[in-house]
Amino acid sequence: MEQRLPLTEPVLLLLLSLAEQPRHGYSILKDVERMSGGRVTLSTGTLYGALQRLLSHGWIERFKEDEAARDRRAYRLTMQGRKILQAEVERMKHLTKLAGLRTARKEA
Amino acid sequence: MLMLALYRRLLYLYPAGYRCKYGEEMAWVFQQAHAEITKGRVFARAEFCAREIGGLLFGSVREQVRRLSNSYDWMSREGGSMESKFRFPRATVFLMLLSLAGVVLSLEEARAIQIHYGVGSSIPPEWPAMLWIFGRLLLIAAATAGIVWGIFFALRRTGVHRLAELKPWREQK
Repeated sequence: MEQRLPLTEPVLLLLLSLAEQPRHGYSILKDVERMSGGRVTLSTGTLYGALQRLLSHGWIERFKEDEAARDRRAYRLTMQGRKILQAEVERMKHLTKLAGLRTARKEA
Repeated sequence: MLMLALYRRLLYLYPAGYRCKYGEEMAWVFQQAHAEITKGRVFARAEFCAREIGGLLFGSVREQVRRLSNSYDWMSREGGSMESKFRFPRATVFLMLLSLAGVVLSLEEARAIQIHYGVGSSIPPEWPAMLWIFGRLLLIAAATAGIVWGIFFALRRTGVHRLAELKPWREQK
């Protein structure tokens, strides 16, 4: 699993967005923008490219949210995707802890 | 409406399979985002349009290349480390061959210059000549890429890649 890390920021934000609840494309776009404070703004082309890639790796899955909405599909994390996300968060926690220790030592 | 129409036209740059799967969904998401941005300022709208068109163009090129090479790995950073097994996509082989052709052509051009100015003579720095050579190299590389792409395209159109799936004899039950 470590071989797949680190994730790029857009992919991490995308997985984080889906970690909370299943979402459709537009909802993911808005959530990623909100989480990054407007710094990461995905175009639809970039978003669907990333979704396609995550689908092919089996990290997310696509499903029909509502029978009435013909063109709307929603996406949710798979168990594998959740494991990857947890591993990335752990990696970042470790790095943050290490950075805190190192900078504190330097200041002292 | 005009932007949505343009967006739908640009979706035709994607491979048909991708377009069938995601096209309508992408157009719907674009419509939602566009409806929201029309309330904003002119600059924000222009930025949105440029981002969407750029995203579509880049995305379509990526998908077309992926369709030809059947791999994401050569382009994406995280894609390269997704699989533990080693992969050598066909697109990389193609790019390497293209680079090799460029190097060989450069050597040939250098030899031609040496012959032209004579062995041992100092070569004056003539930028127009260098630019001309560089331009020619670029043209040759582009032409080579076009021809190779044309061959791939023609092969796919003839369905020759499906021959591998054919079974020459009926399997015994």
